[in-house]
Amino acid sequence: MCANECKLTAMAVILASSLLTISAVSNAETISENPKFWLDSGKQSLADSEKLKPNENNAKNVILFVGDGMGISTITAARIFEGQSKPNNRGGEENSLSFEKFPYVALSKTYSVNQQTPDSAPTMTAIITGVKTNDGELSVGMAVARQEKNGNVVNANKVKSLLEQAEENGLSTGIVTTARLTHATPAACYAHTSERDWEADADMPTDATVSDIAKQLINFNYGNGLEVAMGGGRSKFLPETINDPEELDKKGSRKDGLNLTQQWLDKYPNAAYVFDKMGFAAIDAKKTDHLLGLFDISHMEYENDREKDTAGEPSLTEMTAKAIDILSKNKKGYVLMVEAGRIDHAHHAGNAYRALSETVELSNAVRKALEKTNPKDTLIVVTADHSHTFTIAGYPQRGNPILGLVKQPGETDFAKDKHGMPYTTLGYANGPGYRGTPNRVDLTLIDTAHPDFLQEAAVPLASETHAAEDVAIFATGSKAHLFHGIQEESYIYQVMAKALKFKVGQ
Amino acid sequence: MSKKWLWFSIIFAGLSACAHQTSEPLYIGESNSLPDIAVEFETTVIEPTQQERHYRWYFWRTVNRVETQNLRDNSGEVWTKSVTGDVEYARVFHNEKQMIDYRSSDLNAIGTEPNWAGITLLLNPAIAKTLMSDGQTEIFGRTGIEYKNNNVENPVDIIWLADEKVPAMIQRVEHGHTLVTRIVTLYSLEKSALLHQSTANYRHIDFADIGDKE
Ligand SMILES: [Zn+2]
Repeated sequence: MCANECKLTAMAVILASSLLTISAVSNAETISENPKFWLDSGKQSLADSEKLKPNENNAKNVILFVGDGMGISTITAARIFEGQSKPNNRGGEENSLSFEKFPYVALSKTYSVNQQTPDSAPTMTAIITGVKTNDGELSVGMAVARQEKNGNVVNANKVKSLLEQAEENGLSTGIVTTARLTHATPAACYAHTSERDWEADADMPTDATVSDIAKQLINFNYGNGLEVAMGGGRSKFLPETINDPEELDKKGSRKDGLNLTQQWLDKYPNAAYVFDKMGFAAIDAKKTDHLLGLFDISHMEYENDREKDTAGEPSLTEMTAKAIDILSKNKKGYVLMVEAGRIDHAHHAGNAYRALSETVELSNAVRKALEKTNPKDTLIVVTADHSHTFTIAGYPQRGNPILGLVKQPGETDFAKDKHGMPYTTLGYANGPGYRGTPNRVDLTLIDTAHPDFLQEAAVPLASETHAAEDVAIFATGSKAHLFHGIQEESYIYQVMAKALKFKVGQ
Repeated sequence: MSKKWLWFSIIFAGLSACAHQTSEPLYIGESNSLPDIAVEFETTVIEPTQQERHYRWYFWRTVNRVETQNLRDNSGEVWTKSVTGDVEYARVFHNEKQMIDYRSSDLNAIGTEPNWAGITLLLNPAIAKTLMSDGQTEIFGRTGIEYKNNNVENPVDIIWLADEKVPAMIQRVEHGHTLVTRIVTLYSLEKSALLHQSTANYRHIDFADIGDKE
């Protein structure tokens, strides 16, 4: 009678023991962080370093990735955030984002001509032209006053961008961003203006003779023009008489009646304009020589919210891949700037989750670029324009959830402040997450890892601010070894221009 | 239809409080059948040690859009619901002719989860669930149903206009002060006499861009 039961029991024992065996094996395979491990892994890193040889080849291609506001604390936290999502992680701290494996790193001093803590306009001007300027100004010298209305004054003080030089040298050029294409970082690549906010004519004083930023993108007349421009900011390109193709109850913002998307199509041969994910997917890189993608009326969605977008948007990784496919048709080479523009916005909102998920997506985009290029002829640089007041604090134990409350090694309860309240590892020196007097709020039962959780801030501000400490420069490929030490932010341009054999500033 | 809206045009039907009726929960019905209305409200703040303060404000409502205007500082708010159900928000500064736009993901990023029913009905849905009817009263020449909760610490009383789907009065006690919001005038939207300032030519700033402007 018990035959079947006995068999089942025996089977269960065998199954259980084999499961135990499997788990024992997998435990045996997990890395034990004993002294030998550290010495061996250090030795391996040293051996890898000794094998490093400067890549003296000139670059055919340069890809510059900019994480807007991606300070070093953001990179560290994003590394742990991604690491903790991986199976068999050792806590997540040991993880590396794609660009953290690059062989060369330097630090960049980000101050602008007139501000200790800069905004994206002078910082990207420094990166892409080699010239530092005043806050709020794009690719003009410091002699230009902010909001200078006289177009002649602005034009007389233009400083040339790497993309403009590339076009003059017969290379292809591309700009990819998750912010508006007319936002400061992408705009510094192609526009020259005394005010970063003058994105469309409607944003400008009526008596200003400086060209608005969107118009400058379409009228970019270096070489054969930009090959790729993808991002958000559709309203800056459409007249106020036209309904937006995605948000049908909204209209363009241009008062001059110009439909700049149509001008793009009229200006270039084999040109395309797309505004949604389906249109993007249908683009055949072989047949398209000039691609304009405007995927949102304003900034594109955060990566966390991208799936909810009405018309659908491509990811930063997908846009990067498509851009490389189009640009690499040019045998002479290309310059591509890719910006993860919304790390900055999430930080300003005091929302660490989105800042970190945007940074991980930047890492994915860099990985894709590495797959599609050859380090022998391509220089890839990853940097930030400036930092944020974002901190990783307390003494959390190894593997403590990076978005969680601090729990110290060996403790069962959370670490407490002077008033007996727990606190998160991640926080901001200022911003909207300030939770007030006389005491902080009790976060014990709050899901601080929720995407919509607002990290605490020490000083109440409507919006969290940029920070002035140095940011990192990561580089691989041609001439990457020239990135070393602590450099002015404008040095990044020097290395890129050197790699491409361009005369600086010309 | 406008015959029902102009309260002063309606003859009082002689209803009075009816204490022996069965107590019923507040029934609101479908959110897609909200009548378009324009309302002037007055909110009174009563605190034990201070003089009463009064604020007048306007409220315009259609099925997918709510706008308010605070008459004291000439600022306001606009809430809109898209076809996909996303809720967007804008702060309006009439004196500066400027709006700050918050997209759905911006609201989420700052930890805000807007509730459309709460916005359109001026009632927190969690509170609305706790309300039970407590008789009828005549207000603006029409029948208002009184609802109360049974919370001694935070009592809430409302008078609900079922046809217009809007509270004619909300009284709340919170943190030692009493807030009373009452309708001053009520119109159908198309007959509204409230001065509505067009925002068509206002300058729009994305909330996401505020951080780079400070
Ligand atoms: Zn910023």
